Order: sequence, then structure tokens, then C-alpha cells
Amino acid sequence: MEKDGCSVKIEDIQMLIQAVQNSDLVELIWEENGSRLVLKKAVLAQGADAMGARAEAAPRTAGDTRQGQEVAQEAAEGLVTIEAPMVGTFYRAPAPDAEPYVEVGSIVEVGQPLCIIEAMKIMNEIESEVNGRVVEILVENAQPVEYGQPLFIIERI
Amino acid sequence: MQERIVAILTEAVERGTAYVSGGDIARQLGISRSAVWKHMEALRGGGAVVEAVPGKGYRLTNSEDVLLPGAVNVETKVIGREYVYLPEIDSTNSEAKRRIRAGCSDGLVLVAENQTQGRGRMGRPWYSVAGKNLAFSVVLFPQGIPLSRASLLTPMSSVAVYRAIQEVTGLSLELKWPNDLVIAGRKAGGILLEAGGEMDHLRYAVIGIGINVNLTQREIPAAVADTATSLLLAGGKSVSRRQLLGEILVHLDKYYAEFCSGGSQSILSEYVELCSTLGKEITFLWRGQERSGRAVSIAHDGALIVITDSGEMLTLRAGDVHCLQTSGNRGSRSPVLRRARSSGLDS
Repeated sequence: MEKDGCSVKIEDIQMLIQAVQNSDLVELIWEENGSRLVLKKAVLAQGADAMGARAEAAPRTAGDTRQGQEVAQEAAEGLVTIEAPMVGTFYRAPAPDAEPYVEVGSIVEVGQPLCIIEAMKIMNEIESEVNGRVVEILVENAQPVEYGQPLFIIERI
Repeated sequence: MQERIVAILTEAVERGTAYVSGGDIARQLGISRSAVWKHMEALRGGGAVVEAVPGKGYRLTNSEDVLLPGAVNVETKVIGREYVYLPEIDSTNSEAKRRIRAGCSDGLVLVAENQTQGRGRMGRPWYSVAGKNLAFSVVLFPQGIPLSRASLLTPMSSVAVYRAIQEVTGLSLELKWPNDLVIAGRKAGGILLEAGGEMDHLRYAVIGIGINVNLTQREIPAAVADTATSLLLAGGKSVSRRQLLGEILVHLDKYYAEFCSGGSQSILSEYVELCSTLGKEITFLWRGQERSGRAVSIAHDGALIVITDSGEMLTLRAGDVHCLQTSGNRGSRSPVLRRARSSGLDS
């Protein structure tokens, strides 16, 4: 969409966003006088809703795939996957110079903080849902995470 | 007892009579006049300036600055029902988290006269000057709210603080997405939000609020001298800390009731009305790349919806946003607001 000579008005865009949201459309491309507007509705994970639609779905992570493949196996071995309860930025420590909340091998209790996900300037401490041992940390510090993305694998003890 | 004496003295100032005799206080509280005198001495130790004039009685001369329990006397349902005054603490948010671990009540307000290790986002320092600012935290234990709804605390708290400052001082503020309170381009306050829980359960939240109230230019720490301001500097007159704190608690209480009921309509419609970023051309970081576009709307969780210059629609929930123009294009902004309101933000 060119800024100069653009004939698409902001109210038109707002109307189109509403139209896309209220429809089954996944993508809408609108071209007019050389301007091009692309609205893409992300296929949302359960629990998010249309107003939170993202124009781009995040790239699938290695974690996503391995979760799919190994869910049955994990259940059998008493492994629990802790997933991101929101879209945001993942931090392993409360401040850049602080110790991480947990490392691989750490023993954690129910309610113990595992990481922070920052969204809308809120530092959300994600607490463990189980007593166990951290087997795997699936996300690098300061990386964006999507709703439902696996963050940790914890072995129940 | 001390709390009731503070309340009696503060009410006398509000009524305009100012002086209350020791005998009256003794009768109201059912204690001796010498006990009243002893309480006055204790209050003076807590920063209250209590004048005693023979034949007239006691008067709280710095009533607008006193934040002792009893001074902030507002009608709220939850926020501030438990109120703790701390002459000095490392950080009210840190103290809030310690009290959460030890067990405390929903709506607890912790007010500090002085913070020795005030902090902002990611452990950055927050400077405060004893007796001149507001530094307090509010502890929330909402029931049956999923962690993903915590994001609404950002619009909720920034709207509450904005409205309270506006009502008490008449100053015109700017609320930059997501929660910067700015006057004439300088930061007048900051909000630090911390929450905790699991997927389906927002177990606790702490709203930490710091406001530069009566700082003079000289009192603003050198590190932030070019970026910070105070309500006194912006409006040219000192502001009642007691009144401002009370108004913030009243507004928070109102919005918190809505938050706990699962709604967000009035929080978001106020936020859309006040957010100065809407309608503007902005630059922002998106997955490590600088992008630009126009801020067109606010999502159900307070996120900023942007149409980029290449026509993509993005929803921002993190990162710093910079406006490319100082005044919004009102002509294009108002239709956005009307549609945003009627489109059921609270969906």
C-alpha cells in the first residue's frame, strides 16, 4: 500500500478487518489503483479468538512437531509438556543479569516459576503444574512464543 | 487507633474546620487526652506535621501529603480494603510478592514513602524521592480468570491512573500504547505489572505504580533528567498525593470489578478513547526487523492492531512503538474509534 496517492481510507481498512473477522475467509487481497492490501487471518489455536488474529502464523517450531510425534510416548513415560498460555516473549530469568528460574535437571514443585512470558508489558511468571524434573527447555531466551507452544518438558516425580 | 486519628484530622481539613480539640478526639475514640497526645507524637514520627494550638486543638498541616492509614479514605469494594503504609522498603512490588508467598488479601495496597531499590521492567531501576512521589503496589487475586486475560491489566491500570491524574490535576496527558503516561513528551509515571499462574489460572497479579508527583526539576535524578517530568512541573502547582492515590484506587476498584466478572467493555472503550497511538503512523520492531505502519485498532486483549505499509495486518503485544507524527489525523481516527466501539471489543 503506497502512502502517497493511496485511495484506501483507514475506515475502509477497518471495515475490511471486520468483514474478514466475521467471515470464514482466511485471506483477503484487495487491489485498487495500484494499491494492494492483504489481510490474512491466522488459523488460531483453541482459546484465542478472532480479534487476536495475526496476519502471519508463526513458523512452526521444532517443539511443535516433536510434541505431535511424541505425545503418546510422553504420556507413557510420565512426561508433562508445559505450554505457553499466551502469545509473548519468553524469558528464562527475571532480569537480564539474574540466574535462570530453572535449568535442565532442576527439580520443580507445583507453583514454582519456570519462566516469564512478557506480553503487553506484563511479566507473567509461568508456574509448574506438576512436581518433577526439568527434562528439556524448548525455547531460547528472549524469543517470541505462540499460544500453546511447548516450553518445557517435565518428568513427573 | 492511629488510623482513626489520621482519619479524624484529615476529615477536619476536608470540612474546612481544620482544628480538632484533644477533648473531642478523646471522646470520639473513648481514650484519655494524654493518650491522644501520645498518638500525635507517634504520627509526627511517621511524617505527619501535626500542629497543636492551645484553645483550638490539633491540625494536620501537611494533610495532602500524608499517606498514613486513615488518610486515604475512599469507598472501594476490594482495592485498598487492606492498606499498609511502609516508611521505607526495597520495592513495593518485591514486598507484594513476599506477602503473596506469606498469604495476604485480594486488593491489598502497599504504599511506600521511600523505595531503596525501586524497579521497572526487567529489573531496570526506578528512581523515587521520599515524600514527593507516589510509589505503591496493588495485589490482586482474581478468581476463575485464565492467565491469558492478565494482558487486560495493562489497559485497566493505565486508564485508571490516567483518569485519576486528569481528575485531580486537570492536566492533559498522553497515553502511549501500551502504558506510557506522558506529559509534553516526558514520562510522568510508570506501571510495572507482574502476574503469575498456570494456563487456566491467573493466580495473582501485582500492579506497581510510580508517579512523579511533586518533584522539582532539581529533584529529578540526573539519569532521567531529560526524559522525566512531574505533575508539579507540568502543571505549575503541587498536587495532593493523598487525593491522587485515593482516586487511583477508586478507578482501579471499578475496573477490577469488571475484570473479575469476565468483562472488559468499559476498560477497552476507555482505552481506545485515551490511547494516543491510535490513528498514527508508527515504527516498531517485528521479529527483529524494523517495520512501519498505521495503528488502526485495539484488540480484545489490549494489543495494538497495525496495518503495515505493505498492507499486512499485524497484532503487536510487545516491543516499543514510536510515533512518526506528533499529532494524530483526527479525520481518520474518529471513524476507527466508532467502529471499534460498536464492533464488540468485549467479544
